[in-house]
Amino acid sequence: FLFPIKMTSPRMIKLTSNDDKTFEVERDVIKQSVTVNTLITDLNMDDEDVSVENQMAIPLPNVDAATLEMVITWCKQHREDPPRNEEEEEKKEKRTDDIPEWDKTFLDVEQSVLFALILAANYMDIKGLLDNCCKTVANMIKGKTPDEIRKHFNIKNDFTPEEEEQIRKENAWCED
Amino acid sequence: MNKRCKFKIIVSFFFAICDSKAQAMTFPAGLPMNSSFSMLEMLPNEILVRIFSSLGLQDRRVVRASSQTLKKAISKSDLTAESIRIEFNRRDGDHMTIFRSPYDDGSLSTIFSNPEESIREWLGTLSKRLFFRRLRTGQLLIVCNASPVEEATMRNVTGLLDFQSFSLQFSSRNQPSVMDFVRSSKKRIDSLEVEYFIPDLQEILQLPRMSYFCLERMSRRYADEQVLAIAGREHATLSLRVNLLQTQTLLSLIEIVRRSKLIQTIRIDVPTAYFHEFLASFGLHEERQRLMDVSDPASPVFVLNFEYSNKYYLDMGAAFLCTYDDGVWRPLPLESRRMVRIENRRISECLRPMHALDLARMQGGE
Repeated sequence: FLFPIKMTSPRMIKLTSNDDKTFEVERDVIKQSVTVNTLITDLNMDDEDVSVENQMAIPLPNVDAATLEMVITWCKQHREDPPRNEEEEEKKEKRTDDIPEWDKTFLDVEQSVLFALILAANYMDIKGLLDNCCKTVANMIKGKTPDEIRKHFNIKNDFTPEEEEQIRKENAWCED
Repeated sequence: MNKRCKFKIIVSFFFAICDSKAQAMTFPAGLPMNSSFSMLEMLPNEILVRIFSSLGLQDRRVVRASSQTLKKAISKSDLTAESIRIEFNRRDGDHMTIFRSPYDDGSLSTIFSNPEESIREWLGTLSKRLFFRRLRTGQLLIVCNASPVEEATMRNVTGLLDFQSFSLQFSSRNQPSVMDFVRSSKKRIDSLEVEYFIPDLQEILQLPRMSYFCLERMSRRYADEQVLAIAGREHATLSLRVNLLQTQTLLSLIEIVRRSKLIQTIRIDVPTAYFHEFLASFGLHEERQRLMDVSDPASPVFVLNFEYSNKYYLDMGAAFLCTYDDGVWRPLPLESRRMVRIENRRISECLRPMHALDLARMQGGE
């Protein structure tokens, strides 16, 4: 007996940004977002046999189109990554020198873009992206003086002279 | 309601929850750097903590000195802990990583295979990662497993770290040098946990400074007689893990604990083969109510550990913590439960409403 072989294209999911731009993304790619993945599972969307044209889009009211596009790009790049064991990750010593080269280049963007990505990764619960973004910010802090940090991150010095003296005293105990 | 409408309701509800959880916010793209706020400072605290937790001591100091907001955030990300756990264990390989304790008690852990060589190096690592200022109020827990630990090593640890008190936990059968240290230590020994029989245990028990003593997993050969002897002495706060005791010993122990004004804690790992007899000894009504009388602060605290329990034991535990009121079993009010603490996350399971069948089975056991 011969059965016709049905060529199935990858299942697609529609996502809409807060500025009403819709993106189609492979189900397998967006599973890295725990938030979206949970929603898809809760809505039984995996079981429905609906073409992508007729599919309802999942709105992401806290992510703009430009950021969502970057998030999808990152998820595509990391689709083959092994699943993260959060318990193991938590136990590991925290480092900032282990960001993959591709991510380093990808995250070499303006601060506003990087922080928007952090918020989106946090909102969409994409731990890998959030981790690498946070490490990138940590690397920006490393080796700077308080003044340089303030300048780099546009921080206003809100300490009074007395408070600054107090901080100096508090930090003195751990002098090298 | 059509499908599209349902979808919208579920999605809006879902993201309403996500919003409240993630405290999500958006930044205007391309914000000029001379804007009046700092995007870094505007990040939710949990993200700032995530960023700062990977910084070394020097950079953390710099961040503390940058602004009030960042100072607060970095304080929350300090790798401090209520306690530090140092484990000497020959079998676990030689690694020096400081990690969050797997015991889920907020402590930091490390394991040494060769303490003599690596102790100073480890302490150096520790001092670079932690704010000692915060640790001075904490507790040091030293776990001596398979590896024999020299008294000198113990002095190294306790001398270099400024702790108010510390705990010792032994599982090795023979730790004479450490016992020398315990006897001569000028530090306040807050707690001592011993597994198995230790030859000079009787002498150790006479130490006046000790305020907590835990004897657990003793071999059957020693358990009953020793436990009763120790409990009867009433010189220290006692925590006993009584999962191996025989029924009569357990019941005698309960009597000792009831009469005692000094013994504050008895831990019971459930299931113990005799848990139902333990419960029965309190009765389900008057006796139990008396036990849970909050008016007597000197009454012992019973810590029930249901971590490894199956449904049957959880239900029995629930019965212990429930009251029969107007024909319905209800959980006892929280203030009445001071005398019984459940020491793990399964408390909610434990307090779910009782099933009549389990109750009948339990009462039948009486």
